[in-house]
Amino acid sequence: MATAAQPVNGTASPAELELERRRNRDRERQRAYRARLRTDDAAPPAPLPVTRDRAASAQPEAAPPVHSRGTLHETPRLESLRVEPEAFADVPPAELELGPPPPPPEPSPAALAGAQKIAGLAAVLVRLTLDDVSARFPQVRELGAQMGAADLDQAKIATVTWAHATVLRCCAKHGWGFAIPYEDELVTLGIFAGCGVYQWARLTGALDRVPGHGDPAAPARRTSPASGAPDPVNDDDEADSEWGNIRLERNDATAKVPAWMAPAR
Amino acid sequence: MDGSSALIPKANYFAVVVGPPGCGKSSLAAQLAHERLRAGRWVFVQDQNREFRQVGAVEYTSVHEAELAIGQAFAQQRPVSRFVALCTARGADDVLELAVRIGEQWNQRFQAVRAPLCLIVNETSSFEGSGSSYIDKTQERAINLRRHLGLELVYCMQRPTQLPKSVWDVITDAYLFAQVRPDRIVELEGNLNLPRGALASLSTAAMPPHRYLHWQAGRGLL
Repeated sequence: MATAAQPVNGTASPAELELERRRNRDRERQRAYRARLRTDDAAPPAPLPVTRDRAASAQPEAAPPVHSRGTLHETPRLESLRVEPEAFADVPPAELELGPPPPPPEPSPAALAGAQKIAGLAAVLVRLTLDDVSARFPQVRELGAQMGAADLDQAKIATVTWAHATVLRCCAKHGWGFAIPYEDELVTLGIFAGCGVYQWARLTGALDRVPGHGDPAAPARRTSPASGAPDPVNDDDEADSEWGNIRLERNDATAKVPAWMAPAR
Repeated sequence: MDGSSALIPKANYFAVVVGPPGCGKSSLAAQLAHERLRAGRWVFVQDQNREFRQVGAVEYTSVHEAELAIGQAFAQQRPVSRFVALCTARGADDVLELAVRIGEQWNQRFQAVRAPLCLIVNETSSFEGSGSSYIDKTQERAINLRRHLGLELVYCMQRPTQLPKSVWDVITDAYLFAQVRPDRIVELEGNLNLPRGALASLSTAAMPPHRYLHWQAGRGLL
């Protein structure tokens, strides 16, 4: 039996006494746990469960007839099984060890390839700010105008929104949503940046000017900068060809970063 | 309850608990857990519905958190609960992986089981990669190596078709609650190699709630 804590020279503090009491309790628990395990081990080994094949060849008198109707057993109420959360806590036996959790599994080649594509795109996007977008991308004004931007500021917004939306679409294609299993800081940063701009643009209506985005029930239309009226040419599929390769890239979720989006060096 | 003597675990114990929602599967699972815990075993339970905290389980919200907490307790020789409930989104797959990994470390490489474990899957349908005709590799490994891993298995399910026939062939115990559809009774009779009509008493009309039949391999209905 564990010995009770004895004050040393009568000077043990309450904290020391409490510590000693806990140690004794833990030792007692560990002893009880080992005793249970020993009892379990010492018990005569249970006979190997008889498989159905073996049952067929077993002595008939060894087992009750399989067509017995059985006895009805009753389940206890869950409430009757209530115990304290630490009721089954024990000090672990010293001979057992538990290694550290394994590292997360390597992403599959497909996921890695997707992540790299997104990382490449994100690497561009994180450098892309509303302030320097026009300096880096001379086409922004023209592109923004095609999307219905009334001025350069709107053009910047529309362009950046489109670019970030592309990242989001890549994520969606790979089934990642906004949770990135591949923990790449750059990707995460790019996605969060994209989410922020995307959300802002959606709320302010800027996104609605990007064909293919916005409310699916209300197809995006470019508006006339002068009158604000919808541009009828937008309803014509042929007119979309003016997006050229940008349009193609935009529709291809696995597209490489378009050359025109390459950051200025 | 008069069936407690029949619930003594075996070396390669693999039980299924089959019944509709609200029939008492979780209560029986908790009872099985307590029996094993009192015998010094570790019990890992998939608990997406957070039912097992009230019966003594310590909840973890991820495999990593559980492994870290248990590992730290081992390193510092602190008391740690042997009743582990995982409340994760992946549920069954997570708790299975955790139990197998611990079984590998504690038992598989040794001559004897040093720390007997029990895995309770409270909702078998929450396995991502399994069904009536297929089980994934981790499950297959757990089932085939359970003796070496020192791992007892308890799968709770609403329908007998949630496990393939190949798995029913290695089940040692089945706890059968009332079935709401006659075809499920027939399915169970087929899975357990029982003659037609042997489980007729499982019809909801004939069976009171919170009652079950216990079938054991080689012994039939007890």
